[in-house]
Amino acid sequence: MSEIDRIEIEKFLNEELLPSVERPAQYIGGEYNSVCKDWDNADVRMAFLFPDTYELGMSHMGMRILYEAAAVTDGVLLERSFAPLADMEAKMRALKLPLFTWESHHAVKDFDVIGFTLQYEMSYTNILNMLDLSGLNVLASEREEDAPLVIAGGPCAFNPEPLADFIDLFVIGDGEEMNIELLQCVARVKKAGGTKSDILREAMKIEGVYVPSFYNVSYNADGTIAGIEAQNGAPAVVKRRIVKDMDKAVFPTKCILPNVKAVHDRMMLEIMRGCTRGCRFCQAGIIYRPTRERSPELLLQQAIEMEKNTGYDELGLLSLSSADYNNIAWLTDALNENLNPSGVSLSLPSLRIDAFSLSLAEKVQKVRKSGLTFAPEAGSQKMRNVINKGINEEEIIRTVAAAVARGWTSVKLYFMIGLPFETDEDIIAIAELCRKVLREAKGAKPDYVTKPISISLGVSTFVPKCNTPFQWCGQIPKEEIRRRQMLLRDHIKPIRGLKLSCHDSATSYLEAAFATGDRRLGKALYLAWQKGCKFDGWTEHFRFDLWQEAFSESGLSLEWYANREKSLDEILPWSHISCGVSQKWLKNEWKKAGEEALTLDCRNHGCNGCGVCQSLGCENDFKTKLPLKDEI
Amino acid sequence: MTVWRIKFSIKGRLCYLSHLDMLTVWERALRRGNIPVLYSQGFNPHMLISFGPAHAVGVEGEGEYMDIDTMQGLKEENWFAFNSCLPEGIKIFSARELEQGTPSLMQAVNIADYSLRLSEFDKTAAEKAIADFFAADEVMFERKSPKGNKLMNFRPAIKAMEIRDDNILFVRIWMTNKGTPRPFEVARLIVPEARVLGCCRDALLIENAAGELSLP
Repeated sequence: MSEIDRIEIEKFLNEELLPSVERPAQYIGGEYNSVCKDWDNADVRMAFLFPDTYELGMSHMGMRILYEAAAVTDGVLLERSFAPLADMEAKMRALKLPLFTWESHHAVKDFDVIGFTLQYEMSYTNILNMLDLSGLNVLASEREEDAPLVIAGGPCAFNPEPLADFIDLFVIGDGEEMNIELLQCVARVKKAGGTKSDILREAMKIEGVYVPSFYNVSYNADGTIAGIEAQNGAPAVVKRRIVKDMDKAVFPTKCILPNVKAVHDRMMLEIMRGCTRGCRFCQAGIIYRPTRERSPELLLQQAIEMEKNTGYDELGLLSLSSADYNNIAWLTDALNENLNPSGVSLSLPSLRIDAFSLSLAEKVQKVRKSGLTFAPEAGSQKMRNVINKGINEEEIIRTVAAAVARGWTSVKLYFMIGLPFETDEDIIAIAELCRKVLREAKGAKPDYVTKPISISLGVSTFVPKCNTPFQWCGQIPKEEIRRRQMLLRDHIKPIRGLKLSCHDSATSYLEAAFATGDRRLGKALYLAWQKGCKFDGWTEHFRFDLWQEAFSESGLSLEWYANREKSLDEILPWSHISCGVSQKWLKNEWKKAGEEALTLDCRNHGCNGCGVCQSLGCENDFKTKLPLKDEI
Repeated sequence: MTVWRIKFSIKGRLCYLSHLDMLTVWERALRRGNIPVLYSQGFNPHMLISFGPAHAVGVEGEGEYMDIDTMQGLKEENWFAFNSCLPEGIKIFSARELEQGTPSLMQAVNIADYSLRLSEFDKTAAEKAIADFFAADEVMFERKSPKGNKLMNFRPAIKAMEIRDDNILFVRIWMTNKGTPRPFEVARLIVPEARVLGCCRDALLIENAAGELSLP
């Protein structure tokens, strides 16, 4: 049955679709280094669906890791699929052609498991759309017992509740080991003649697996949660899964080369997982704790292999704060020395704002000083203390000026507005800070640089996320955000040489609702998708009017979900999912934010009691510093 | 420094890659294969590679060419061995060192042969259309584009045309800077009822002033 489908799909692709759609190369599959295992000999087959475009999906590190984990495991077949663009989707629907995978062109619905990655809330309508395009019912409760198991994981799975109606099972935390265990469990149960309910009952025993239908949520009259009750023997609290030793974790050195240029089209080396800085708005800084470094020698070896396998000429060192990696200087030196002399350029995203980071940036951008990005996040010292961004104005100004002195001409600064405890003075302080930065930068410009200095500000709206100290606060109302954006604009305008771009507030508004909302939101999501919402993260596709209709028809208040401040003692929608960091510590951090008190980084200042190491039985893993060549 | 002229084919779905994406495929493969390609000077050094006339997206190629500047010391066998570094669908047939002063591919190549695989059509009518085409002094075709339509005379640019094996339309197109007919347009002109199921550029050729053909 599936074999015929595959041949039909290929015929349609070759004769109808590829010759007539925009940028057809993204759909052809068969990329260099892609793995096409024998369909009939697999014990279990999974389709990994990225709920956005190919060029975005192919930039995603998590997919590369899960792909590799499956590739090296006998019996496990994993293939990829992406959201087709509007013209492709329309043609597929007209031809009644179901969504297929890029490797073997089998219909997604012929797989045992369909997995989505949840990178950001605004991709949720795409998940529904891709299920529908696969010929499956989007509602988990309406799908047949023999339909594929639909799973999801990734950062947004820490509050999986808004997707509870659609997804059979969530994987919470590090996926590389868990996903394989889950797939092998599916194979085992299916082989024994079990159905989907049997799979769910078996799978919930795997650490990190959450089956939403096994939990009953009740509500108070005011709309808050009265209780979350585990059924069918499911654990009362699902604890996040963690990989303790990053050196033993699988890592892809044979990454797939995309056929069209991906957003981040380069080698990626994950140097560490986790961050100990503790910025209070940052979800990644909590849900990936503790920090686990990879050994620098292993990373060097992986980079060399990767270059040989791909021919890429760019390598990104990935982590949440690359300059914090103990051996970052050793590693960048070693990479510069050992990779192709005809030039592999390194990139170091997520740099701190200090002299050390700047010297790193200089090391990696020797020829082309393309641009530097820093994230002061807030303009006033008060706000930087509120968010626990341990950096002061002098450091920011000094670092940017030093960068300009060394030849950089374009600097991007990221800020957030709408943070808790923010006043108009704090907004104006952003403009003031930039004015000072620009003045110092202009003064520091060397004579040989002819290009004018440009400083651009990216200003996003704060979105409260679950499992952060700010999870209790509501987002500032949309109109107020606009007012603050205008206020900032008014103060930026008179300053020549500054460019300001503000993130759309309506998108952030919805993001806030879905980041901290409960499972009742599924109704609004369903209606929004039915009304045609998809690719909500893309400004040109985002239809806020349709979302508003969806909310009003579902009887839910977007405002209640996005703007309401939660009380410290209410049951949060994700309270049965534990990332390991204690709620008590988060509450204390929230209190300290109000007091503008700092919490120091446990990398250098000892344990501050977040509880993650005890809860997950996993410690910070910092590797011993190797001596640099010029130190020997 | 040596300039190598490489003859290769592009088969299968890789033909849907844009010119730029195809260049990336080659650059990465050449790096994987440790071919000592020379780079341009300047702030953004790039490999010294030049392709022949760009092929339209969706057109396969049986005899494509490119010139690559490398350090000295390579042999033709190195290029055959390099085939293992190329993705499935691209294959090198031959490689030769160019003499100094050889005109570039873009300057030299002026003829392209295409085979279009068509869905069912009336062969007699198509053959008559071809005969009528060559009997006329002028055959106008309206090229549609978002920027506006353009009326073009296809007659002088088409050197030969015939139906082969019942379902193939063969066409030899002269590439000029005055507007070159596209193979899909020729198919639409001659057999409007048929759908093009596949298109392949069989050969790129050089025609001299005397009308003699040679390979690049």
